[in-house]
Amino acid sequence: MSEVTDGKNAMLNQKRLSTGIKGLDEIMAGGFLCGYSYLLRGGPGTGKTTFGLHFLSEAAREKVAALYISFEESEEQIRSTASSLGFDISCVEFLDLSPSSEFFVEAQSYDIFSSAEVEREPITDSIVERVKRINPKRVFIDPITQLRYLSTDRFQFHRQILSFLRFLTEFGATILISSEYSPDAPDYDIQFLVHSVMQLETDGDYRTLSVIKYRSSDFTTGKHSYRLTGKGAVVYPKLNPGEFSRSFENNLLPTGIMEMDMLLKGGIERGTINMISGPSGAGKTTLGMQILCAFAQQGGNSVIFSFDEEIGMMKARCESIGMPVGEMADKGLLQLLKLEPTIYSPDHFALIVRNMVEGGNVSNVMIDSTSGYKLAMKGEKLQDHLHTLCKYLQNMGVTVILVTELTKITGDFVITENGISYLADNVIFLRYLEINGEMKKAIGVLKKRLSDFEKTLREFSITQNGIKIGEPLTNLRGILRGEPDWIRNA
Amino acid sequence: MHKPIHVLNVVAQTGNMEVLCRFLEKMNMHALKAKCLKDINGFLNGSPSISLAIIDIMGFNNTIWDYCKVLREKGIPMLIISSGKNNQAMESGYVYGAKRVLEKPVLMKELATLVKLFIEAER
Repeated sequence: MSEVTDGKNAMLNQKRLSTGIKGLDEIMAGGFLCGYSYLLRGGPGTGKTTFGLHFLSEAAREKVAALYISFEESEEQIRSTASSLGFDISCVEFLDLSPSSEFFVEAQSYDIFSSAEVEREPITDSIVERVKRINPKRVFIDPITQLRYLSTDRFQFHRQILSFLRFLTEFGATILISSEYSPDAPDYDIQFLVHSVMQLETDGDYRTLSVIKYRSSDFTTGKHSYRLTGKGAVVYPKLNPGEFSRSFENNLLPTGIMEMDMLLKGGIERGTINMISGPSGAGKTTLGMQILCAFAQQGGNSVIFSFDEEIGMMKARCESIGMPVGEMADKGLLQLLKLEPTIYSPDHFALIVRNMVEGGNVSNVMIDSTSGYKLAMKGEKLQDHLHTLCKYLQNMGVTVILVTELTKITGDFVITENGISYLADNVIFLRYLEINGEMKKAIGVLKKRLSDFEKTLREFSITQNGIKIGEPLTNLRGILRGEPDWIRNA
Repeated sequence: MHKPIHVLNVVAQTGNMEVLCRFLEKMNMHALKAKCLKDINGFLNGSPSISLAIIDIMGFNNTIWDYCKVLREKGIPMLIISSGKNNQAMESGYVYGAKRVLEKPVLMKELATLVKLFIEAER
């Protein structure tokens, strides 16, 4: 065995503690390595205290002592927060070093000596006494930046923090430290002293967590989204498609419409990414539903994630044209889920998809639409997230249908307006046509990666008996422009 | 057994009085608290002899110099603490008999050395 492999095995064999948050454990390769210090950086409202409560509440499960050292909030305030979030912190001991109201009422402020000289000793004594008495295995210091005011200079601060962390780890404690920082009070020095640094960021709606360093351990890089809920923090690890694979047969799946299968030369290959592109009202969703229903009837559990349309309306619309969506849903073959794009982040959505694919054995997925999905990105790059999700689904042998809306009804031919067509193995497009003053719709296949396909377009319509696809439109030209002419000598 | 050392603290602000007293008690000295002339006279007329007076001039008006005059007349060495760099206060301090005028924040080590030095000199 090589030295590198030996080192990796040794790292993996080191005992780890759960962070108290499943998603964060996944990002941290199983959790915190025991007996080290971890820095949680973040501005106000990023949830540092909530992460700390998760970390400490694990002590109850492990039946070990835990210590919360608070420099800002009182024990009463923290216990109240913990209780409202449902944390069991009964076995957590508090060292409340926050100023009491007497500090203000009884004019306890002073300026005769520096606070570093006055406070350092009693604070140090309190910490030492408490640690020696309870021997905590988990310690949360909230926030450590307050200790900066107890040091006369940066050198002293550096030495004091280092010595403080060593003191705690010598007792076998794993330490989580929160840090508030600003351009006026940076915390770069603390980042050098700890084993790992986690960064929390928020722009109000969208929260991300990233691991900046983790000595002697693997971790998942990048920005992972998280939410602060009424039950604490939920972290959604960024999807890494390379970590997933499932063997599957690349067989052709008929679409349930004979003419569609003629266009596709037999159907759609399992495990491919399929884009249905077209303007509003062209019938993209209905076509996607039809294809997914056909796949479900062939035995593959299917799920539709709707970012746009309400499920009730979608079902009613499909059933009005004879598509047995309700019946298939009742049989458990088809699931329809409405997702509110403003609530779900890309990582959260990816986790929902993962749970359904891995836990629910789902083999066909439709995302309706990529515009709604883009809204859920909250400014993040659509291409990156959709690429990651689609590659994951492909690796798992899941057939994907992406419904993509075009804003232009007619005009120059485009497939998508988001630059995501490269993702698709197969591209089916719908177009509005004006023929002899009448508005018609046409369907065609633009790309099929794994086999040949019909190069002509066919008329497309949705009737009360379902989707109808006509014969190839071979005697028209200028179809892609949306203004076709009859070829005179046809 | 050593005779207890009494240090008179003339301080207006409660927080400063508390930390100064704690500091002196750690040095095994007995801290006396005075906020006005009446308090000072009370201690001067009492039985314990005062070895040193530490005066924080913040929070007092010019009457603080009258207090200093009284203490000087009684031959009590004085250590005056002023807020930051204040040349006028420094000058007045020395005029009214201070052995030393210190600027805030005072270094504990420096104050401890001076307190010991002045008390030893008085013995």
